[in-house]
Amino acid sequence: MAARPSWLSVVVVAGLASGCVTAREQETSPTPAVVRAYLDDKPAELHRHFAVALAQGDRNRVLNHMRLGLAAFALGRDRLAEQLLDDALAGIEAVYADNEEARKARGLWTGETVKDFKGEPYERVMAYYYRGLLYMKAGDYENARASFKGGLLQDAFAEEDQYRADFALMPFLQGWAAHCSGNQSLAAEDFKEFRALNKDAPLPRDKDNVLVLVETGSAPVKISDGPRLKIKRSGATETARISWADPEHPKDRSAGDAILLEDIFRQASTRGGRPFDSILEGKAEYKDTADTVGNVALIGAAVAAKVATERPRRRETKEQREVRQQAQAGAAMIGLGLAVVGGLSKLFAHSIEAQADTRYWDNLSDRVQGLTLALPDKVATLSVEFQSPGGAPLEAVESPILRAGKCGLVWARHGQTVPRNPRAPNSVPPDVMASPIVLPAAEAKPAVMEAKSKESPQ
Amino acid sequence: MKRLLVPAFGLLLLGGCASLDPAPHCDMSRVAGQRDLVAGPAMVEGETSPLKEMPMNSVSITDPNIIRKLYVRSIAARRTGTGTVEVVAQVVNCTDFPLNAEARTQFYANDGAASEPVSAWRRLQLPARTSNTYRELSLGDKTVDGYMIEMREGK
Amino acid sequence: MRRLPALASALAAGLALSACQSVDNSAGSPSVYIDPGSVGPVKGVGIESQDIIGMTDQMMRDMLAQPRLANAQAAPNVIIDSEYFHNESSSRLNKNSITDRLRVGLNRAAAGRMQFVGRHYADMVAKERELKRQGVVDKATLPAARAPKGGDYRLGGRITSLDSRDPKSGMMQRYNQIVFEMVDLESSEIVWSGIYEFAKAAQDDIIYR
Repeated sequence: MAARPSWLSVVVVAGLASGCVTAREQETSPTPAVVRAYLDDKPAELHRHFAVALAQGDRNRVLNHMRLGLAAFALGRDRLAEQLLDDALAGIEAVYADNEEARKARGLWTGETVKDFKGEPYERVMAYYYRGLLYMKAGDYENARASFKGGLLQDAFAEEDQYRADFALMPFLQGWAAHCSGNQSLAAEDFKEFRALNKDAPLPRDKDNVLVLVETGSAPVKISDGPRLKIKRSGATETARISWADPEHPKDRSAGDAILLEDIFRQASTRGGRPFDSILEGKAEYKDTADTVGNVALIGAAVAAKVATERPRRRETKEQREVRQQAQAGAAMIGLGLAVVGGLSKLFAHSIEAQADTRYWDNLSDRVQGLTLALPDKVATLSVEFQSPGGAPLEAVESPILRAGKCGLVWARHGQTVPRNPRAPNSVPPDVMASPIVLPAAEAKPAVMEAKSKESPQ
Repeated sequence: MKRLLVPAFGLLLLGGCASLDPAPHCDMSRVAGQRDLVAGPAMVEGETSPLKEMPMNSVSITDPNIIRKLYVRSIAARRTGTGTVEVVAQVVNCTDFPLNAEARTQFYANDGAASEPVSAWRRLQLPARTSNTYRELSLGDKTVDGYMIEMREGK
Repeated sequence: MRRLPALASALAAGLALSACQSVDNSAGSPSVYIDPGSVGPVKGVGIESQDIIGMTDQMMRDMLAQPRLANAQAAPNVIIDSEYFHNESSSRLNKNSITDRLRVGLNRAAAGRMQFVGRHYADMVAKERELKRQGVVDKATLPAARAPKGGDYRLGGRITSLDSRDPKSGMMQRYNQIVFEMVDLESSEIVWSGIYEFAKAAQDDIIYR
């Protein structure tokens, strides 16, 4: 019976430990004044998202700024998108050497999720992609090319050689940016690199001056298969047809199909095992061993407890009773010892964090398709018709041609760009994910100030 | 017999050479012994300067991390075609390890005041037991009369 | 004997709670001024402030030692801007931060040995000249120039990089090469060239590889 208190305490402690989430993984509660000041110049449709980004802090900073950078880009808030993506890229480019949080993420007791998010290579590349598009919109084709080139460098980690630096979209856009800045020899080099990765897509002609980029599908989903990170495709495979007409002859419509330039899911899923997976696997092995030791010890404790609590025989001599009581006292001691060892091992196993980090960029698309055209300046818009894999029309949008310098850009997206959930998937523990987001009530302020804070879409 | 002896003698010689350290040979204790108080203008008239090892027209290694590892073999200064001054210092890495050093130069006018802003730090890579040359050019021409080079470890 | 379970549970609680000791209680770091000419606390493999200061300082001093630029009988008119200074590297940067520092540094140090043409202010000058000639504003104090200054030499150049990455170790290396050239605007002769190059390597933590 002496074992009972120890059992109880072990169970209580195990219960306590199971709720153990590091303070970094929680959301903070900034004061309403801080939140209001932060949201003041942000688009209203993203207020809840920005409030979450503020509360989640540095750990999810890159993740939130990637998501919000894309959302701001899609809303036409280019200045804001530039700031957010520049910040995300600064986080991606920062070298984490001798970093305390990185050291913790490698440790036995904390999960990978404790680390500052930098994203998997496909996510990092896409952050460079959107920053490059923003440079293109602004007519800075040299920095656009630098951005795409920087993106391709992030794709150098695949386990198998043929998947390293194979993000064909990047050399294509590098070449296009060089073409638009008038550097044809550099463009030829980049298109040669693209051709080595993509044998089918046609290369832009010298006279082409408009790039149409169409994004379809929804983001690849990360799941944790034990210590291994797995990627699942979540979107369908739509296609897009682009048509346009000369304003002087609106009835003569020309059309072309967008060509697949990049399959983001493929990029995400061909990365193979990460070096960090082996550390997670090591952690998982420790966890299994500790759990088995715990099970064996607890079974031993149960057997010992049975012996210790066995009823006496009906007729028992005094000597027999003394021997039995001594044996039972011994068994109780052993049982107690085993219970403590078993409990501690179970607790140890429970405390080891071997799950892979499954935070991911959820408003990303699944595929990027494109087309380059030679269009006169008077053509100001294009019609993009999204079609189901069978060819059935889904949605048609009119997209403006954003001309800057020698070239123009058309960007169209099928599906939502503003994330449905203001919190990125798995960005915080499940109980926090489900908690409501409360925005502070707006302060009454003069109308002039309000009008000033609104940035006009570009 | 003679023919046989020659290579044997040669081998003996080689054995003797193998025990020697390769160049450069730096006697750092003598290098340290050469450092002394610098005569020059002091805050108080009639007294020697409290500044050590920062004489004009020389290299001062200001970093304790490399002071016993580097030796400044030569310093020279000359006028360029436009009248600006070029200083050249040859630096020897006396260790068996690669070193990164950086140096900058302050040029002075003949009244002892700085004649222009100090130059930017220029990096010098020194693989094990090699020498490298530090060069710097002045901005001013006739106004430059002296210089002082500072050297520290490059990070 | 009864103390044993209590002791065990205290030990277990201690062990369990040790997992939770991840509160970042560092006091933070107040904003401080740092030397832009030295390596700062945040380091990457791209072009940083100390590189910009280093390269512009070196080029400026080198140009002033070139007789055709700094010892000509008549001080030449020089245009230094980023118009023909191209970035072909993988570093996103504002080229003006390089060309502006070069122009400002040279202009301050040249002391009449070179003259600088603000071609990037051409619009501004044209507008004011137009207003003066239309009589909207007076002629000001300086004598009227027949035309804005033309350039004798103009800065050209290129930033290129060579990147390599070891997928196994995560080691990243970037060689940066920045070329500066002064071109004669009549004959297209390159009268002066300067090169600044450096390579940097860094390795990210295994959790990001």
